[in-house]
Amino acid sequence: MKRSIQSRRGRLATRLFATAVLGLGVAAMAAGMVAPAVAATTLPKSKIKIALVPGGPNVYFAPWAEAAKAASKVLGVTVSYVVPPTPTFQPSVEMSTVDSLVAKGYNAFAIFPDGEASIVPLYNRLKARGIPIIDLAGCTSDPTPAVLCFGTNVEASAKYQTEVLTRAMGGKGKIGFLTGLLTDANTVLREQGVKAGVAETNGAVELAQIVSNIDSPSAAPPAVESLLASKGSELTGMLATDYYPSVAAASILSKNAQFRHILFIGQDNDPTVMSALLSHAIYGTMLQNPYGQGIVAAHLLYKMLKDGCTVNPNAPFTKMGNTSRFINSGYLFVSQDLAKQYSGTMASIPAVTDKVLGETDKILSCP
Amino acid sequence: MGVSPARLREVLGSQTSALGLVLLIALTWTGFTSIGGSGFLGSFNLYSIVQLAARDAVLGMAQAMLIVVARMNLAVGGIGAVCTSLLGYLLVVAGAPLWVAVVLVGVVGVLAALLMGFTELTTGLSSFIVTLAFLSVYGGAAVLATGGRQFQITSPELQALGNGTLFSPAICPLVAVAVACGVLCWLLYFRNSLGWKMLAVGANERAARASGVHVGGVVLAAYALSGLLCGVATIMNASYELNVNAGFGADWLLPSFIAAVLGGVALTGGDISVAGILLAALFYDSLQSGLTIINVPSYWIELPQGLVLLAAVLIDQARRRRARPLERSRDTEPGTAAVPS
Amino acid sequence: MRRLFGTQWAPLLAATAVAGIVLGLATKQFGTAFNIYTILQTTAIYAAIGLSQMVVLAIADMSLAVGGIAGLVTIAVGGLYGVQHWPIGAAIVAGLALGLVCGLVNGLIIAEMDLSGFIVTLATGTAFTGIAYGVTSAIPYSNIPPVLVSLGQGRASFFSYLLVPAIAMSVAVGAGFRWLPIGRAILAVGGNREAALLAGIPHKRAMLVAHALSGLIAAIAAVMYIGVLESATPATGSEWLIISFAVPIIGGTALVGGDAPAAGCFVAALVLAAINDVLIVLNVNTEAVQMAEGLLIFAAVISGKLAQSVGRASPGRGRPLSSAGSSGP
Repeated sequence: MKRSIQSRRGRLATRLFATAVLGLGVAAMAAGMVAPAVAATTLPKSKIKIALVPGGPNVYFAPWAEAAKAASKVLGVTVSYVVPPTPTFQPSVEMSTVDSLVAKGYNAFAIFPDGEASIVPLYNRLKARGIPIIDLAGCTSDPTPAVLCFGTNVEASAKYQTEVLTRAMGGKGKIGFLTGLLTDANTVLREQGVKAGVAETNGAVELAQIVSNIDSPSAAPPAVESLLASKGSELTGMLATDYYPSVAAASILSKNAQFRHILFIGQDNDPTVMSALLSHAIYGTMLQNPYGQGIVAAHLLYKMLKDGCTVNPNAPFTKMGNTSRFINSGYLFVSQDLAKQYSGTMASIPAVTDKVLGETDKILSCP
Repeated sequence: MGVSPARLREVLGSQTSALGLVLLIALTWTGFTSIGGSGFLGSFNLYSIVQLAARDAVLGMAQAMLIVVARMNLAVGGIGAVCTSLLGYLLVVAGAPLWVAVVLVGVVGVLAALLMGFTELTTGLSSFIVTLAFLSVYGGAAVLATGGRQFQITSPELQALGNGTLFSPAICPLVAVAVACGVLCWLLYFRNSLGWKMLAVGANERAARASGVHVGGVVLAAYALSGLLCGVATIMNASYELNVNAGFGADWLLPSFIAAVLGGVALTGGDISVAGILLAALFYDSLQSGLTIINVPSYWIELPQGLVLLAAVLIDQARRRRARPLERSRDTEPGTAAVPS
Repeated sequence: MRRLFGTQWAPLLAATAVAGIVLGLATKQFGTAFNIYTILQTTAIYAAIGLSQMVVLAIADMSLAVGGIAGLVTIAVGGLYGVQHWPIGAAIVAGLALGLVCGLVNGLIIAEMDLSGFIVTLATGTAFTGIAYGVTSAIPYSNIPPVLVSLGQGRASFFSYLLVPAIAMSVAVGAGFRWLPIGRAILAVGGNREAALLAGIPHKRAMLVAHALSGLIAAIAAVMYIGVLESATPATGSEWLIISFAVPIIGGTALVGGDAPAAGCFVAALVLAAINDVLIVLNVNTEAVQMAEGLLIFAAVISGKLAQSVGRASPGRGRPLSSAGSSGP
């Protein structure tokens, strides 16, 4: 191994004076001859290195960092939280980050895929080296080398959010819906969920306006205000399925009592949203379970490497739009009564986390 | 031609930047390997570096086409969004054969860029403003037209191009595309009168016009070639992203400038280094991977990318100043000049 | 009167006023106090962002770091107040000082190395954003001082309190360019660098001041915005690039430098804010906003040129800016 590195470096050096592109190409070819590390069926703890890779720097994933620390302590193996440096969730940057981690010796991954198909070739390369992958918080499309997908069922969550809202509205009225980028696959699923929830009222509740593409700090506040200005008097309900529109709507509804007749349900437990909820300026918010996502993923990956477990084809999977091996990480409606309990904490639904951990022997089949 | 000594110096200058980059790559790669272990040079890691670098090199060339004529293309990503949407529509919705889709993407890339060129020439606005406005127009139009829809690329040829291997498990076939584009660019600039005219227009537009160069035509040709390369970059991008939408291209601006400027293309125009662009893209894309490997906390990795561009610009400027002390001394007036009353 | 109609933004203001009146009559929601407040609040922010760009355009340079500086200042103020528990006044002063320093860094590199602002600020802007993300790990600070929230979301009927700093800043910048020696020096260097050099105007100092001022104004814009979202996130400023150019250009800032119409910036900010609002009021797809901004730049520049050619013949103003800020030796 040592000799091969030296010879490679030597070769690189001799090529410095040759044409640059060709020289580097040859170096790359030489490097390619290093044999890949093949994962054994069972590994000792010291060899297990698990990485949780989010889509990019985003507040949603912050609890994964805590989960990685907690799981590392409990399991006694390396569990790291590594963020690809791409605020816009570019798949190519994420792929390059994962490749670097493999080069560093990581041998199990839980990944939020920045593209549902873009990252599959990377997964294939990981699988060829015997590295298990769990899709976390977002799924790649079947057929995928990911052993399973563990995340929020965003469509079901949006539908449930809509149902809670329409019930609170007395089964009639008009709803405004604030959402994110159309190019995000989850936005489409959320919109389907909201539409399905509205459809259940048989026309008694109308989806009056959808304002999309506003999940950014600069777009959300003016868009929410414009919606309130134009439709504020006729709307009786409002939904947000994304972070920035939720924060903006919570902040604006807190300051403008004339729109309090509008029942608003936001997303996530940002402090601004929670303080609006505590002061009863908004009706509720939807909580997800990112902390539990990190914990469960690390545990499953650990068992696969440590004990040579594989995924049980008969595990309690749900069939989702793009994958047949989906497990819901949970969602929860946080009402005004529950607000205190979920303020100032990271997003976590321990009941769901414990339930899924309890089903580990159903999800995995171990030798 | 009276400019031949300057041109000689520029050719020499671009070679030093390519050579400098080779040394820089050797140095940083050695550093990454000795700190982070041999994994950095493993086929697995190199594959993803060159896959990205190939696209970024072509983006750098698309940018360089206009920088050479003392202009710039802020709309590389806008054209990319239009081309990506078109490619997705043709392959997925219309079910067109691959070659038809590829040709049409190239044609539309050229047309989209030509429209900007015509706008610049007819309004007399700077290329900066024209391409900035078109970045908004094209990006917005692509999202509006497709409704943000995802297109799943299933063409086996494209998949083989973006995710196959060439000669070695460390090399993505996209490298061949980038090198081919590089060779064509080199032929254009160093073996073709159009390229020579582009360099002349970039070095001194008035002098070029005076010596009989049809400046408008040359500028339009530069726009067209820039658009064509954006089309090529789109196809390269789609071949490994596989699932594309109109949001693609939003991140292309920074790599396109980094590849061109780090590669030694003078922002003042009239200068090009094709090998420099290829090497700069390779360096830039190996940086992020290397920093991850040597345990730089991941939230901090964006910072060095900006610093590298800054360092490149400063070093390049220092080098140019040394090369042309007489021409520059004129601008550095004594700092004691009085404020006019 | 003739002078008013000769300005580039006059046709735009007239068109907007007519459209606003028609809309106000057609849909009763457009003319409500809350809707006008919404537009004015956005106007104030856009005007501040545009001013930050305008002061460097005046010296025939540009800054792509406006958003990066804003992101960094946002988290500095949010962090110093929310985590370090500084008094709010001290946190704001520190934030503004940071913006000024960022601008000074840009100006120093550009002036001393004789580089174009484009490439330097592309690099430093990326670096500033990188620091903001590195420091916060992308987690926003949510403990926002109430005084900034009342500034950002406070109003008296339709009058957004944010207009106070925005108008004050426009007046100060306008006056500074008109009466202060350094303001006139910036315009002189921007208008004709060679002539300014020959006249002994310190172009390096002018460049330094223009960029420092741009950084300071970007910092003020960031402080103004913290209360609007009620969250201090490093992503603030990530979408300011196009607005920062659209506002001064639509407002009539000549890209060849030597011009600084602060009032024009304000009108342009109003127009862009109104378009943003109208698209939602009329329930048009919000994706159209992006496209509208691009098209409006052309519309404004072309209509401004027509108005100018009607108003007065102006030789020597139509010269296209060499994109890299230098036409070569």
